[in-house]
Amino acid sequence: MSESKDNHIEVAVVTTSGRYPATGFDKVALHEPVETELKKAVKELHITDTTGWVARVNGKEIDPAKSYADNHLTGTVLVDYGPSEGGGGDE
Amino acid sequence: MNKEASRALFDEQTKDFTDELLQARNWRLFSREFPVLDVGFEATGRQPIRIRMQCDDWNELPPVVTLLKLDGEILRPVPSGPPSIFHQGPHNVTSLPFVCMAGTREYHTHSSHISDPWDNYKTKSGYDLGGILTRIWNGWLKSTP
Repeated sequence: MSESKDNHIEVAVVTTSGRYPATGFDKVALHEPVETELKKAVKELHITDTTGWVARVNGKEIDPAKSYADNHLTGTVLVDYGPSEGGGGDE
Repeated sequence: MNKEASRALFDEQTKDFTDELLQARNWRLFSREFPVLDVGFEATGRQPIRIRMQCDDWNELPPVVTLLKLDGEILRPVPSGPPSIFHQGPHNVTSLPFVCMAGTREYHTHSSHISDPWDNYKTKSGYDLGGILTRIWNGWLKSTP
């Protein structure tokens, strides 16, 4: 991960349905909520419902409603996005 | 379900399992050749697990999900909660531990869940093959290491 020289961060979103952007990274403001980029990815990848989905960076869950800065993210990041487990359980 | 249609859907839903995604999730791909999707999960401080999804008749039927060690042996005991999608079993059909979560054959054929059929989920977002595998992965990450 390289350190950004300004108040921006380079971001890509990966899912099992594809990647956004398809190649490279988007440069976005550090104060922007992560969910803004996730919404672009969902639209581009034709994902119809992300209720209960989880975003992770380097395996750690982040809060998409917060900014990159508030999630302590800098440089170049790959946001991993996918559905959380649900239903059933040890009985 | 027509076998070729099932294969085409399988291939479509696993084509984006790129090296980048596998690396980001620390997944080890053992097979994505129809009808078997077989992926190992690893994470620091956790016992690895391997998820073998037998996808015959996809998506008319949900995959049969078997919990393995990385070497391919049946995993026993399976991770625990609380709460956990992993069930020590024995399952009333397979007699094995299983993933008790919508989207697995074991869930929908379990005596406790036969009133919640696969048809309730098969067209929903996040219940494609990658979605089901991701759900299991997230459940594994939240289980007791």
